[in-house]
Amino acid sequence: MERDNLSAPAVNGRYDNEILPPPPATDETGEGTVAPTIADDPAMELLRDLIFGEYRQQIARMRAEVQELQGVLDALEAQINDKEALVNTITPVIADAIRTNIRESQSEMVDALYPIMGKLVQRSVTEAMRELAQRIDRQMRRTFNFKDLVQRVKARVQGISDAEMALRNALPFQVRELFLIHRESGLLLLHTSNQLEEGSDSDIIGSMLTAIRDFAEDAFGRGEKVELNQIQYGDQSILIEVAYLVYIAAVVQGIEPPYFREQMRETMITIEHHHAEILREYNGDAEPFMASAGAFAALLAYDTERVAVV
Amino acid sequence: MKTFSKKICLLGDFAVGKTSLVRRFVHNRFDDQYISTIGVKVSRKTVMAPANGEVAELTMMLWDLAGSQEFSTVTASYLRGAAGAILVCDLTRADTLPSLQRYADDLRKVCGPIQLIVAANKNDIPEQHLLTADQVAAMARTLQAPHFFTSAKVGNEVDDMFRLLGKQLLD
Repeated sequence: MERDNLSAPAVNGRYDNEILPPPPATDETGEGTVAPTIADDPAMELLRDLIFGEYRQQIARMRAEVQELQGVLDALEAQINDKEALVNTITPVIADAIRTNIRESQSEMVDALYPIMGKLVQRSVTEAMRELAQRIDRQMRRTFNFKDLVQRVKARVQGISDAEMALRNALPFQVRELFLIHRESGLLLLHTSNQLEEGSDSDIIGSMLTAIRDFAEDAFGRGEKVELNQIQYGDQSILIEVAYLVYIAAVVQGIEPPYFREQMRETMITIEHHHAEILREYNGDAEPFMASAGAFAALLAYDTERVAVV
Repeated sequence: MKTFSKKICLLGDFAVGKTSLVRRFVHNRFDDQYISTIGVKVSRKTVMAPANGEVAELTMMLWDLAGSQEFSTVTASYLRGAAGAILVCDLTRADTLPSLQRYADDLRKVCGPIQLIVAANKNDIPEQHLLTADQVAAMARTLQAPHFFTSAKVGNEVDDMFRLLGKQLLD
């Protein structure tokens, strides 16, 4: 390597003239032969590499890292702007954090939630108790009834106190819909409902209910004459009472009071006796059963009219 | 106007098109899945039909029963109280026609005298037919039932068939 070809780094914008001559003048017209500059000199480049190589590599690495970080930032920005993606990302993290917190600091979580949950529970219990108290009061005020007396004696014999009977009888209960159905064909004879928007599919429901009864009887009856008498779904039930020619299905909410099934049965038997001839050879004309609409309506209003036990 | 309701069953081997015939005739709110769960799905269609010289409203409660090779006790209970039935065979499957005799026998055993109609379905694909019109007519004669060549796909004769059954049920 010749020393003349070496270029020194610029120090404070100047070349070290003691070591190297100044760069040659260039041909301004661009026509003449131009001598190679220090910058173009491969030897100078090699020298730069030797001196700055490490720094250059570091700079390149840092540039790559900055680019990579920029990509991550862009992706994060996109995720933040996309609400759905953000929810998907943070939900599991938050859920995990809550789970861990509940597991590890249960009492702290209870303390934190108590002001909210406590008030809610308190309000709900108060409402329920107030309703219960009103029902018991209402029933206590009712007049004497022979049926009640029998029921009370029966209950006492079985070791059930009047208060317990009162409580049992005061449980919330409402009849929502009633279906009178021809047992053999599943055809709807009479339907009544206390729903504001009465559906028009009561006849299909009547038939499907019959199919479900038939299915249960055939699948689980094992040759015995057993009947499906209740279907439970959520806080509602379908109570079924079956006679020889018809059956009644009552859609109710809550737990039925002791007399309700008895009342269902009485209503059904009365209707069956009254229309026995029509029902034996039923021709599909349900008009005669409209005469029993009153008895059905009374059964529908059972929640407010029911007989007191206490 | 007098109003009546009648229970009508649809019977036939698996995949002859019973559900498609009902679907063509009525607007359904409930899912066909019921057929594969409890073996039946009930649909309703109201038609006007003459009864004793007057026009009456007839609500047909259509019990679409799951097709099966064996006549099970479950199916027997679904037939109780039926006033009429449609026996469906598939024109593209010869073996679905003789089954109709068995269905008719079972129906009469459970319901006594009952109004029947034979529906030879899939009439829209004649190139695949393995049953002739004469064979279908012969079976219908044996069962003492009117017969229709239906297509649930394009609707051929579906309405006419249900309306004739409605008329016969009120006669």
